[in-house]
Amino acid sequence: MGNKIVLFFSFCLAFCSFSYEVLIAGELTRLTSMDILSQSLTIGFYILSLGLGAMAFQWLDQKKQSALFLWTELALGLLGAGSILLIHVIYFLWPIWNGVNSIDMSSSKVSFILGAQVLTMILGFLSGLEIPFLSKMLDQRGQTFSFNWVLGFNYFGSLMAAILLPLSLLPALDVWGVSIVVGTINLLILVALIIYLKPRFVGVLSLSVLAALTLIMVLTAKYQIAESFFLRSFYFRVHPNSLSQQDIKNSIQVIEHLHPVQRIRTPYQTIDLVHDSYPVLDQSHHIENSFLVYLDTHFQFSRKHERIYHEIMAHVSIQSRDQVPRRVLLLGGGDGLLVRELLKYDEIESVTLVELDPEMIQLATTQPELVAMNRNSLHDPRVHIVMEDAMTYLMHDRNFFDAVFIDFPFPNNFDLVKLYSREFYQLVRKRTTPDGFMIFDYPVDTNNFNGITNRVIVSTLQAAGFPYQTIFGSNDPFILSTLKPINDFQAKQDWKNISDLSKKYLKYFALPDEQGLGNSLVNTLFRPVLLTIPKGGRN
Amino acid sequence: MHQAFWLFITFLVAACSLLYELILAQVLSALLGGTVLRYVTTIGCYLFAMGVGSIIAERFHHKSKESFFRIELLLTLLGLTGPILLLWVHSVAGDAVVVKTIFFYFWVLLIGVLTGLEIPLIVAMAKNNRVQYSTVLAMDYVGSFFGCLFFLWVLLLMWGLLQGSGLVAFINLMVSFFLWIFLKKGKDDLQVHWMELGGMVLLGLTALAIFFSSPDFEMKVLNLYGK
Repeated sequence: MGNKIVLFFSFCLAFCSFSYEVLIAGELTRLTSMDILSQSLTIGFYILSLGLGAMAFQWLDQKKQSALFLWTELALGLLGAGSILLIHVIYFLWPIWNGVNSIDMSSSKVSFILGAQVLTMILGFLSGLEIPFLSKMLDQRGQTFSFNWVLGFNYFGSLMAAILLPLSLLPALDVWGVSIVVGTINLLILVALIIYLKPRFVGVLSLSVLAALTLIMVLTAKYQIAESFFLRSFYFRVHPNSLSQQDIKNSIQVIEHLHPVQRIRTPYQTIDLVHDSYPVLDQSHHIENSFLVYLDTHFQFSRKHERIYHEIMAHVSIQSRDQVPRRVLLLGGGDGLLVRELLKYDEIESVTLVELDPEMIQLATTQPELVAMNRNSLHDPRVHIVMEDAMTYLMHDRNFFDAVFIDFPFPNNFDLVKLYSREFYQLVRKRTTPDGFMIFDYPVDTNNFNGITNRVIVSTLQAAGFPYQTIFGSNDPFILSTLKPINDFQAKQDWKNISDLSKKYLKYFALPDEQGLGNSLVNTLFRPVLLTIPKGGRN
Repeated sequence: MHQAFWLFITFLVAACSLLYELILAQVLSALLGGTVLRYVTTIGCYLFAMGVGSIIAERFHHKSKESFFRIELLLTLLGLTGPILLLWVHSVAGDAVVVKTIFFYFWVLLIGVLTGLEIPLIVAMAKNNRVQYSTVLAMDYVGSFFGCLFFLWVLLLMWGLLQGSGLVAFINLMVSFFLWIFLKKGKDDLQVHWMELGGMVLLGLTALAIFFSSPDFEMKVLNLYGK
């Protein structure tokens, strides 16, 4: 009986600890948009400090081990429950040390991620003490192989966190809610441990646990206010200039006057809708009066500028060909904005829209601002919506398309970078008719045409069997790939369906002089070289 | 054996196993799609299998050295062939998603169980050298830490998954090699069959061949993918 309880403790404590790591890594990713750096540094520092904790255990005073262990769990529960709040407070104050308005600089982001690792390391170090302590508890009861069993159940606990958090807890609650729930579980385990171990100082400890639970209850009652506050501070870039009370008060006042940011969590991404209908008090923090959409805090489009983007993408590519395509495939772009442009051609018989996230389609068909922007395009009978991963879809689909439009977020992480790989483009090519084309948006380096960015893209497309590339667009260019060369259409003036504003922005860009780099730098599934290449932002 | 020897071994096997797992997770997420779900289930299966491994480890305690030596050889084999085999099954199985899924996760589970056996066996082997299990555990974590950062910052971008798997397999093989060199003489020496030695040489040559293969070879392997 007693042994099973110890294994149960091992399971639960591992669940809590690993959850903290997942939560911190996720929140750092959203705050900095540096996916790989945040995730890898957090898991790395977490594991390292687990090791330090396990190592430090043997140096602890034998007699005080159980007391220390109980206080450790108290600290873990409290820190864990408050971890998200702490990270946001640090982020809110971070620009003070780096100069105001520095929060967008990548050096400031990197230093913030590193600074936040102090929290990861404290949590990891304290968690590292758990396995040695629990196995010792079993040892003292004369169990053999106790270490293996404690370790085994520790793995099961981490497994539980790895599955439950992304699949059910995070979509159901939110990051704040999950941190509070997990912290509370941690404290409840501590209560069970106190009952089980019956330490001598039970009075002081129980009072402390009660105090901690009260604190967590306050956090539970107020966290939605805090979440909304920090979300506005994040998107409108409002931070105090110094630690003085006046400055902090001022920024809080500014933030409280801003329109709340609407955050929608899905199993695939975080969708943020930023309304800016109130005038911002502080001019230096002013964003244009607009409606902006962010995916995983990466900017996607704004009401003010999306026309230019989608008009150029749809009409220049279609009119560069002799014939308007009849069957169109659209990968990503569940917002319905590009579909709005495509439907302007009567010749287009069908638009197959492949979107991974059902929630995106839901928004595009019900959210008032979005429906007004896409003119309810997704309800058009010519539009067929498929909810599937684009790569999976391409592997089993046997239809052919005259035009393939690709509207994915930039390759900021491992999930996205495979959608820019040679293998992906090969699959697209197999579904493209000989006169057809593929077009997608990529941050081409417009300052340096022979730069590595452009050459990797060109060699990847060539390796996939698209010999001809044309680059055009506004400030963020598109790449148009075809199997046959494109007639010179750059002198063309009589664009149909394109507004004068978009025409003004339309530019043509050169290709790299030396074409690709051969096979040495192709972005493949097995070697995602694009991850190392710096990518610009979207307008 | 000296304490440092066991800690060094722990460090290497922890780093290698984590690297195998990351390479497989990357291949799986590329092949199966629905990335979030796949990635989570891969890591989940792996952790689960490690739990099972560490619990069944006591069955191997009486011959801990021989078992550990064979486990390392097996892990080298599984890690080395994993990426290519997964691609091959993917191309052969076609639309039989169930077959693919079962095979993929079977591979992940196999590597996970073997990895789970490692730490308990090292603790058992090192008992006579007064090595604390908490120190072994700590070294395991440190090894995972280096494995994790090495994967993201060096392996993936410098060599890619295929050449990278050759490198990791070779390092993993060095563990078996060290064991053989340092433990064959002694009171309770490690018994190694000549066939195991032959397998070691064969695996080493294959691992080096894959590591030094050109990007063009990787392209050819990946061409299985679109089929």
